[in-house]
Amino acid sequence: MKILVVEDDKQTADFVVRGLKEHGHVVDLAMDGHDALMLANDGQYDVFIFDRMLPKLDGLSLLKVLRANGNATPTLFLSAMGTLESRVEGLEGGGDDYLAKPFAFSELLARVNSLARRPPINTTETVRQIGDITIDLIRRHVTRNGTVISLQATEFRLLDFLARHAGQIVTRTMLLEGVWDFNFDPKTNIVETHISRLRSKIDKGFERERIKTIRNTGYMLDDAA
Amino acid sequence: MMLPDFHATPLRLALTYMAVFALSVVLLSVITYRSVQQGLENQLRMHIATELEQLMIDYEEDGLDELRHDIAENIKGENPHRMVYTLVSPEGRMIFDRLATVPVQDGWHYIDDMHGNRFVVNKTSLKDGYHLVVGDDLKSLSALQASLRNNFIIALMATLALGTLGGVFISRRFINTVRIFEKTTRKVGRGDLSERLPVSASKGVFGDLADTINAMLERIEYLVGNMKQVASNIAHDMRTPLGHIRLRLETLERDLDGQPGQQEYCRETILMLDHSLEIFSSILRIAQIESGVRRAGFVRYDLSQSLSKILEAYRPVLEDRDIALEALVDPGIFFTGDEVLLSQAVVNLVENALVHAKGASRLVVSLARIESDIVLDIRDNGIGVADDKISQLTHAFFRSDESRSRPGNGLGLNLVSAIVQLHEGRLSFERADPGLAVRIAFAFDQS
Repeated sequence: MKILVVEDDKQTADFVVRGLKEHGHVVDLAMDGHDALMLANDGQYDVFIFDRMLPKLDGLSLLKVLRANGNATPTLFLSAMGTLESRVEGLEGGGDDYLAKPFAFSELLARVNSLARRPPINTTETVRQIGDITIDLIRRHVTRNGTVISLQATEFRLLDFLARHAGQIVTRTMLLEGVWDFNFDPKTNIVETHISRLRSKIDKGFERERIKTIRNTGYMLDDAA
Repeated sequence: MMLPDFHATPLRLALTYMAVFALSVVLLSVITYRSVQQGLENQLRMHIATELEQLMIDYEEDGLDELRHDIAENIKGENPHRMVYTLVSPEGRMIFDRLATVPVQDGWHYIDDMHGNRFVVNKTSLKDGYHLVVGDDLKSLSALQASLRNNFIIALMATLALGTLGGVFISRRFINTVRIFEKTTRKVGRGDLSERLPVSASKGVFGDLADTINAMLERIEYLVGNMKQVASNIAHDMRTPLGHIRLRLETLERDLDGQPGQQEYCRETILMLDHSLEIFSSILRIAQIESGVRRAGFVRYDLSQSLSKILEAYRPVLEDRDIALEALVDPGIFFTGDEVLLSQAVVNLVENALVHAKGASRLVVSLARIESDIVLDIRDNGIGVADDKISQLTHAFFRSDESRSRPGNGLGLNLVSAIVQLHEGRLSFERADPGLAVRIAFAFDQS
């Protein structure tokens, strides 16, 4: 992927750029809003990563200008302000995701990958097929290899979220936001518990374990055939 | 008009004062009445004594017959207000006016006549063995006395009435002023340090008091604001360098690929750092909440639904720890507040039970409207908290001895307390015997 990173803090910038490059992405870096604007207008990027506090032109305003010019590149905001208001502000200002500093790189990577997939799967889809798992979105029905699996409402939503990001790592935070719409930090691992229950229904008794745990990062639904 | 609270000190004061005043009026009335009565009677007696003296002079000079003549003259006059005269023979026969009884001893007595009228009389023994009784009707006195008594009673009633009205009026004004003070200081106690007492509320002693208190509040607001600002600044300024350290540790961790032992060590270090970062985040959040700015973002939402969602998310987590969740949430309870903050508060309390309620097998969470309040109750049946520790629960960084080794930073309940206060609610902890009961009450949203 081609990614534009706009960050004025050198430590953070190095960290992000290096990490993304190690994962095989092509990365450009700008350290202020004006340079960023130039690069963004010239290049064709798959994802923008903008810090909110920037010299010359702040991240939010930068994106507003780009959006006004018809640039629809998915954008992740980074911010030292972790408040919910700033998150809402960022998302309403045209951003697609928002990450508070300090963050784990794996969190950043998972979200960037998720963003790059947008527009995601066909939203008019009524059935999702992940390997041998069939999810009927209308009837809220799940079968694996022909066997009907009955899921509770939360379990279904959880599976669907994983399915929408099949083949990609989703972090615990992404699941809390996407499945439960929780914006607080739980100390106990609710996600792990629910994943575990889901696993016992989806994976147990089947040859291939599709719900995978990625250490220190999150989970993934394996979409291999 | 509100009925005055009879236990209120100012009312008691007013009532006491009025009672003392009324008592003194009664006393004065009684004393006056009696002395007037006494005075009038004394006058009557003097009158009788004078008449008696006159009769005695005649008797001494001219003997019994002259006395009889004098008395007959007096009686003959048909004067309805004349005195009463009785001459008692040695055999006990009464001459002239008849009395019901004849007094034995010389001197003043009260006796009735044959018709039951009361008289004050003076009896004198005469040398001849006769007895002379001269007296006067007390009826003339009693009319005057009755009139006097009535006037005094009217005066007393008037005093009591005026006193009551005056007392109530004064005490109401007093109470109103005190109420204003109470309302303001309560708001301050809840955390709104910008509140001030209205100085126009009263002059004089109350005015001075208001000024003094306002000055004090001004100073407190400044100091606390300062302190909070410092804490905020520290937390904020620490996060950036700690954040940088975290990035470096992550980079290091990645570079240690192939050295699992070292990598794990590095990962653990990152977690320790995260713990510290979490403390700063909590401090900043609490500071932000206590500043009250988040009130601007309050929104009316379905509290029942929000709570149920959280509880259902935690149900399997609780079950995994063999804790049965009983969710008794009344549906359709709406509330105006910050959903994220309130959710965080609930989560903190549920997680507290999970982590600290050793031996708990049940967690009961209820949301209901009780009278004019919305009440959220969370109780477990675990080990509970000692009475002397309960008051410290919401203090920042408080960890009880049993919990010190468990996960957590001691700020969870401090955060809950700040959130509840922001929403003008009341947070209380009680022993559930066994276990701990946490109760949050909000005044019901009328809108």
